[in-house]
Amino acid sequence: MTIRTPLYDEHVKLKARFVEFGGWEMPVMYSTIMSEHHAVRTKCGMFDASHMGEFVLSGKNCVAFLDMMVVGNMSTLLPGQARYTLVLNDNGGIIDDLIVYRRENDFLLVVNAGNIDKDFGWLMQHKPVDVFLENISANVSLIALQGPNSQAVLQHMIKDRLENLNYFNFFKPTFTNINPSFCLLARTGYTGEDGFEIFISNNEAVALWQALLASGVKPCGLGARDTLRLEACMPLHGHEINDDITPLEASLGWAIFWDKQFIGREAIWHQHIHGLGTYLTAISTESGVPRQGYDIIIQGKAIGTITSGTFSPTLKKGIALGYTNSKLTVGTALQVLINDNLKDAIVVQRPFYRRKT
Amino acid sequence: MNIPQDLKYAPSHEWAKQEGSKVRVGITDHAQHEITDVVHVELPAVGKKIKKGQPCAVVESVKAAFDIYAPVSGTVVEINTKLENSPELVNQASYSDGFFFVIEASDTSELNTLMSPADYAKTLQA
Repeated sequence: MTIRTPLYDEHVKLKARFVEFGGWEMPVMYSTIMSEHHAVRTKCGMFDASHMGEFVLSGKNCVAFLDMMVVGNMSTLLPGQARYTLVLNDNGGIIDDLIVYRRENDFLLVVNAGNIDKDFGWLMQHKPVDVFLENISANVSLIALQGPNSQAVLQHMIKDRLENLNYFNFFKPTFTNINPSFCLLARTGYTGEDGFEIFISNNEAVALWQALLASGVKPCGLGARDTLRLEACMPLHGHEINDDITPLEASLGWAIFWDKQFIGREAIWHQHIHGLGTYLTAISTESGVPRQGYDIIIQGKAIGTITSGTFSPTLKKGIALGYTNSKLTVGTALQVLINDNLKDAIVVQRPFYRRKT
Repeated sequence: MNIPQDLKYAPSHEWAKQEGSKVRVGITDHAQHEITDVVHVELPAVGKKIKKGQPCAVVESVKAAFDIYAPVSGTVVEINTKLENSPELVNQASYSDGFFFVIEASDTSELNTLMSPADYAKTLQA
């Protein structure tokens, strides 16, 4: 039995094709992945990301608790600031990646849809009695407005000025036409473009979606969301990261604040000192499309596996992330086994795509 | 959906057109619509012997790869080299410039086992 977001009827009206994702029935595309991808890179598009999970963490010791549960430094976050971080298990494996939003008196944690129950259980299991955790996922919708025109489009609907909102900052906006009981507007996203993520109470989610649609914003599905995030080399839990992959292996060492205690620190410190056995590698192919599960091959030997692969609508060639058993320099020639054919590939710099600022 | 009257159809959404002892093969309008943007086509080599019902080509969309099955047995005598640089022809002209290959059929009577346009149309309604 799959779950539907409050925007499900809107997707049906737009003749979306649906896919099951993490237990959710989500739109994979409305028109084509290619056209939705290009809309986000050149104008703007919107995604229903209401399947994402939202927790509120409060209590007077919530900062110290959160610092123990994630790899980043949460004590320096100021109200209105957000940070990407990771929850590790005792072995240093990534239970989930999440964005933490620091509010005046509490934190909003935004976690992956497929990990909501696992994350909530893990946090509940470790929290002291004077820290409070509430799962508000069922009450909150999330619309991601992404692309270079996002600010101009959204500004028409919001009384506050958006040009002063920095990347990874957020506030509670005042809309011109709707009055949601809960709203948080953040300059964040999962596409590699400028854009916003709008957390909004379910009762006004449809109104916001329809207003954006009326402004000419192109609805985009999970298909384009995946190609966009992969071009930008943003990891996806279940692919580049999972409970058996550490942040160092996933090239997420930049997110670690070592000068504190946190769960998993000992294991990854050991790895930090003794070195890695597996390395995140970005490759591209001129012919053929590399996909998840395909072997990465050098001189006839499988030396790794692809975790995410696609045709890149921006670069017009195959791109993939995967893990290899040695660290390969950019330019290394290798092969990928695609549909029983060995196709030439090359190690490239991450990310595949970076927007011009 | 566009289902030309002069073609035969496989349940796996390939079309076959008899040209004497040869059979031209492609995918249907319905198939290209379901696949959406075709970004790569992996064709068999000219000279390859293929067997009815066996996978012999791969169509890649942004999101997924789809096997193409031989509608009849025979030897590949021509492939659509235009698809290498213009895979979008499969979307734009699935029954003409977007064809995949031509087979020298080992037995053209195999075409009789394929579906008529009317029968194929029915499978799409089901």
